Parts: sequence; structure tokens; C-alpha cells
Amino acid sequence: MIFGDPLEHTLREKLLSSLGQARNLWAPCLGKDGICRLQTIGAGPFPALAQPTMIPLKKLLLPYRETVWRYQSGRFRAAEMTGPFAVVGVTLCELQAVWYLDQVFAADESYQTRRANRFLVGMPCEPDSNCRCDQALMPLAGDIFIDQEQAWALSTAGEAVLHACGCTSQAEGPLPWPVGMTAQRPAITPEQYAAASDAPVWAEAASHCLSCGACSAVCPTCYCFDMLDDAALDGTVSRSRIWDNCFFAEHGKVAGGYDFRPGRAARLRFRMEHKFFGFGSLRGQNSCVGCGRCRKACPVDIDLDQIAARLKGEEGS
Amino acid sequence: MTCSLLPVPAIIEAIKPMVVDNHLFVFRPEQPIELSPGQFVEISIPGVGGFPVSACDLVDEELLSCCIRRVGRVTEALYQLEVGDTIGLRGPFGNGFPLEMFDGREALLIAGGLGMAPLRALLQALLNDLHPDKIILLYGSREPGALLFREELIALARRGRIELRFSVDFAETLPGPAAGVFCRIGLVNELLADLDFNPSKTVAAVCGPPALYRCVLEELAAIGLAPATIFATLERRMRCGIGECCHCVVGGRYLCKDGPVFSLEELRGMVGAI
Amino acid sequence: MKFVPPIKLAWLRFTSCSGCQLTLLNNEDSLAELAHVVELHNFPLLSSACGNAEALDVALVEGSLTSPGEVERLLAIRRKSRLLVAVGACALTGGVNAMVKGERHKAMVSIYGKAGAEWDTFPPQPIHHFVKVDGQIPGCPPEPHELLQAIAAILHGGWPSHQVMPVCMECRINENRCLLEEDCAPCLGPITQAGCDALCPGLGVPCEGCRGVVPEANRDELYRLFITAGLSEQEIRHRLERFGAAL
Repeated sequence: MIFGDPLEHTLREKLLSSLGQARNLWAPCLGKDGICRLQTIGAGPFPALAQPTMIPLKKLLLPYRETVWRYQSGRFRAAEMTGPFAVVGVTLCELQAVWYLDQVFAADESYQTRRANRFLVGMPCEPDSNCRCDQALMPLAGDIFIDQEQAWALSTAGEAVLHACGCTSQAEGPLPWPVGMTAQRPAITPEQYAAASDAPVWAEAASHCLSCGACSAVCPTCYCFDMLDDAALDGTVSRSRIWDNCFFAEHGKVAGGYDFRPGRAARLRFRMEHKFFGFGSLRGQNSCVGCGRCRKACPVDIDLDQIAARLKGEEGS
Repeated sequence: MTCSLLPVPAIIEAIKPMVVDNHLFVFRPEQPIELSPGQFVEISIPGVGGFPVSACDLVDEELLSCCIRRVGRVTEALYQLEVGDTIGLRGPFGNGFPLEMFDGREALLIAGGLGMAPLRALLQALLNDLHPDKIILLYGSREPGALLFREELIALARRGRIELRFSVDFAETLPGPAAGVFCRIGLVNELLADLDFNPSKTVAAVCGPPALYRCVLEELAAIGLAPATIFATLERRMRCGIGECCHCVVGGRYLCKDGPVFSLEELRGMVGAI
Repeated sequence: MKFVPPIKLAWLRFTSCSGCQLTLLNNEDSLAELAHVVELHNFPLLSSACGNAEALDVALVEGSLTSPGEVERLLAIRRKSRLLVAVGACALTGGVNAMVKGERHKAMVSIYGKAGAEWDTFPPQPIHHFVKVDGQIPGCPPEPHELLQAIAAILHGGWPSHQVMPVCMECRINENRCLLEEDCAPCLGPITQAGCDALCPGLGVPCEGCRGVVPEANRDELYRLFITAGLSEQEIRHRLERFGAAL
């Protein structure tokens, strides 16, 4: 259902105080160093626009380091979860990314507990030269979208919160997606990708790639993880789920040292395959929401879109 | 249904040295874990880490027996544990071998090295619960002393339950025909020659290092086995077991969920699988 | 290796600044707990008393080796220790000590006078050149918690797991401003093993590479970036050599 009561200035405040009652509030905050980060905002103020943060929403949905269990004297106990939280000022492309993560972790207990605890408020953004979002790419997650005078309920929880804030009538029209962003998205097919496995562009990109992992660290739909143990002197142990990265030397290795994805070119190809074609039940779903974070973060300017464009051009040559 | 990463505590019930750096660990999980041959569990050593391993003995449902090679940081720590110590187990994970396909057909098992471990669980199922017309086991290893379950397999062969052939990379002395053992120096795929079986009626299960798959799978197809009846179980760095962490992905598929057992027909479409 | 606490532990210092020892002592909140699980047999920064235990569970070794006498001491400690752990950059790679170049004899005389000419020394070496090392804790100095984690993991019969990844990853996780990208600073983050929580870059100081080189590091590309940023070949070499990252 869509709501369209003019969103008065006071409604934003109502929304903020309504969400803030039982939830930790987070929003993108621009630091003095020019970096935008997702931070807790206490009682406000409400952000003026949605902004892409350096580390996307997975910072909260799939934290970098998440304790999954604790061990003491022969017993394993599930770790306690964080409480309800709300994020205001989420971009549309990132709401898509959250939808994607929701699918990947559909059967994951701790992710789903955190999902039940979250409330996401989308807002319009100001696209920059790195942006290539695509409304048709996949559905949106989230609860509310607000744009100046208008509010859209994206979920039943969102509907309820809007009701509680006194916003009851329907709004017209589609969500305000940025226009003209998709022009540079190279639609590479799995067949084109497979046929170009030896294309020179891979070796070329691999020679520059530092394997720093920045691209997937900042990617809103990258979710590889590893598990690490922390032992304490009192004999207790906690195991954490911790972000991993397909560019790291150990990612494709098995015990004994055999590497199933040796070399940077193979790892770059793996990342493109994951991004554009998906794994498992999401095979066929392009998960690049076009936020441009990877382009911005790469110290050597590697751009998957450019590689894809080259692969298409080189096909058959 | 949602999956948790929380393990079940399991007590180490027995540790039996098999061959060098290869012990059989018998675990008693607090709640039984029902495993089918080819499926695997994740073992957690609190404070050290975890690793995936398949079972090699599924006869006692209360217990889980795994043949574990001392090969890395975590298995090294497991080797320091003693009977009575606690570890964690998660699982079962993966698809396992398609047992029903072996019914009424000829079973050809090909193992390389530690690959014998999961095939031993399959062999048990073939002997106890299924009714293949014939069971042939070809097992290659580094040297005679590195053959797992050697005496047990020889005893089964002597009783006519299985047809058994060993191959080793090198040996001072070979256990000869006098001992009722067929063993030769060479590669395990060379054992396929002069084998008395009906390829069109045969289902094959192969487990071993990557090099074994690269030579033997297509060779089986070449001698007349249908690619849909040749199965291999793949090894990767499975960390979660539930199709999330991405370490085991090949050709867009999570080996830990869709595999680790695949037919050659499927493998041909999975670039980089073998 | 199964250990029953308290484990017999000794700290051995060779050519180094004692900073690694200080790092262990910086775990003020955990020292009482540590005293319960560890029986300390040698710790130069705490006591001049030398332990003479016949057998040790764990030897933590700090510093590089520079003389035959040090080698003898190291071999003796290896013989009586179940586990020997190299702590800090000097023990792992030679550390800043290994930067010393040129003719050794001349250097000895210029620093120690004529007496220096008589001393039997050699260029600083990491300890793995002489003995089997069971565990490594990198850094100059290591992070305080790493030392505790290692001891705790040893108590569990293992060795702590860590991610093999560059400092850059920790910079991104911490949402630090990228010094390489934004300032063209000669940051060694891309080729340096993480674990420090990107402490220096987080404070605006380019990574010096004290934790050693990450496997499969792309030195060529980093070299190209530094040249583009205006560094001379010599400057780059010096930077890489500080903690043994040059090939």
C-alpha cells in the first residue's frame, strides 16, 4: 500500500521519535575526513538525503565480526543478539542489496533474527558519476520510503509505523529512482563470460590487482565469510563469523595447501561470476546494484563493468 | 527451516591409529547425527577452529567414525586431544552418494589415498543394505603401508564379498597373490584394464585427490559407463556447510549443499570442478 | 599438544628493544588471570632472576640473532621447550636490526671503538634460520591481545587462527580514509599482513609493514604506484627494507 499524505516536517520528527523509542537509530553521517559512515544518531537529526556509506548496510545486517557461539566446560551456547534497530537514509540501490542478502541468508538463523529486528527507511539520493543503479534489477527490501512530501510503506511493519505517525492516505506514483543510470551497465551473458575465460583483459587486470580486498569489503552484496575462534585465558572460547574475501590467498585453499583458485586472474573471474551471475539458488540474478563503491575504493582503478565491456568486445576476436 | 552455526558437543570415544598421520576418530555426539555415505560434518575444536570431514563408518547410529589425516593447524590440534575430550559437530551436510542407483547394478568403487574413507562408508551400505550384483573396489595409495582398512578389505575379498585390486606408487615388497591380494605398482586407473564387469550396468563412485579425477572419470566414460552413473565426491574448503560462505563454490554451485557428490554429467558443465 | 595449567613459560630476549615484552605487560587487566595459568621462568623486563627449569612448555622468543653466543642460547632453549614461539618482527624477519648494511667490521669499530673489532658478530638473522619455530606472532610490536590469545589457544591445544589478509581490509572495515588513494602516500597496507586493526593508517600514518608481507603480495604494482606518486627507487627500497619487505 502507498501512503501519500503530505509529510509535514513534524511527521519526520514523529517518525524519528516513534522509531527511536524502541530502536537504536542509525543514519549515514559525513565525517570531517570526507568519509560517509553509518553511525548511531541518538535523537537525530533526520538526514536530509540518503547517502552511500563507505561500508554499506551489511555493517549491521552481517557484521564484520559476529560471535556465533561461546564455549565453556564442554557446552556450546548461542551468542546473544543485538536488539531492534532502525536505519534512516538508505539509498534505493542499497534496499535492493538488502533484498539480495535476505535471499542469500534466507535459512540463516542469526541473520533472520537480526532481520526481524531491523527497520529500514529509504530516502532519495543524489547520484554521482560512479552510480549505475537499475530499478528493474531486483525487488526492494525495507519498510518505509520517504521523499519530502510523500511516504511509501514498503512492508506491513512500515505501514504500521506510518499509521502510528498519523500518515494514513495513499500517495501516487512510483518511487523516485534516479534516471539514466543504466546506460553504462554492460549486460554480459554467462556464455560470453565463459567464452572469454582466457581473454587478455584478465591477465592485465590481475597484474594491477593488489588483492587488497577493498572492492568486496565495500560491496553491499558481497558476503563471503570465514569462522575464527578466540580463546580466553579462563578457558572460554568464542567463535566468530568474520568477513572473508575471495581475493585473499587462502580463500580457495584446502588443508594441505592445494589451491583451487590460484592466482589473481582466477580470483577476479570468481568475483565477476559471483557478482553478475550469482551462486546457488540465486544463479542468474545479477547482484551488482550499481552503487559504484568498488570503483571508488579500488586503489588501482579496476572496474568490473569495464572488464565486462572488454570481454564483450573481445568475444570471438 | 533455519540453520544455526551452533555445534552439538561430542565426546571422543576412541582414537585408533590407522596408518602414518591417519587416525580413526570415533565421536559420540550428544544427539545422534544421521549421516549418509558421502555426506559430511563440520568438526569444531574450540579455541582452534574447524574443518569438514566425511564419515567412514555409519553402522552404529550413535557414533560417528572419521578417518582424519594430520595435515593442518586444526587437525594437528585434534591429534593432541584424548579419549573423553569434547569437540563440536555440525551436520549432516551435502547430498551424499545416490544409494538407490546401486540397487541391482554393478558397483565400481575407485579410491585414491584418503579417498577410501568416504567410500568405506559407501561400501558398508552396499554390503549391508543395498543389493548390487557385484562390488569392485580399486584402491590406489602411495605404498602398501598407507592403504587404509587394508586387512578388512582383504578379508572381504577373501570371503568373495568384493573384488579388490590395490595399486601403489612404490613398494619394497608387494603383498602378492599368495596372500590373496591383487596389488601392482602404478596408477589406480591402470587397474581398470582386464576388469570383468559390464560398463553399461555399472555405477561408479570415485574419491581421491584432484589428479585422480582428471584421469579416471573420463576414462570410465570412455569404456562405456554412462556419465550420469559416474560419481565423484569433491573436496573444497567448506566452512559453513549451508551454502553461504562461498569458499566451496564451483561453476556457481555450492559444493557443500548441491554436492559434494556430482555425476560426471554434472561435472562436465562445472568449469574448474576437477 | 595438551597442556595442563599452569604452563611453564619463559621469555627469551635476543637483539631487540624489549618492546614486545612490554606489550605483554600492557595487558594490565589480564595479568592476574595470566598468573593463574602461567608459571613464569624467565622474563628479563620483570626480573633479573634467570629461570633454570629443566623443561619448558612454551618459550617466547623476542629479537634477532647476531652472535654465536646467542645461537647457543637459542639452541639450548629449543632443546628444552615443547613449543617455541617467535614474537615480533626482529624474531620473525630480523626486523629493523636487519636494515644494517655495509661492512660490519667498520660499523662495529665506529660504534664500539677498538673493542668492537674483537667481538664475534654476524648480520642480524631471524630465529627460524637456526631452530624450528612452532608459532609466530608478528608486529613491531605485536598487538597486546595477540600474546594473550596465543597463550590461551596453546592452553586449548592449538594455535590461534587468523585471517591471511592485508592491512587494507582492516582499513576498509574501519572505514578509514585510504592514504594510498587519497594522499598518494607510500602506504604498505596492500602487501602487509593484517592483525593490527590498521592502527597506523587509522591515525593517518602510512603503514610501515611491521607485520611482514602477506602471501602472494603484488609488490610490482605497489612499486608502480609509488613511482607514480613521485617516490624515487631508493626511497621505495628503503621503505620496503625497513621490515624486510624487499625481495
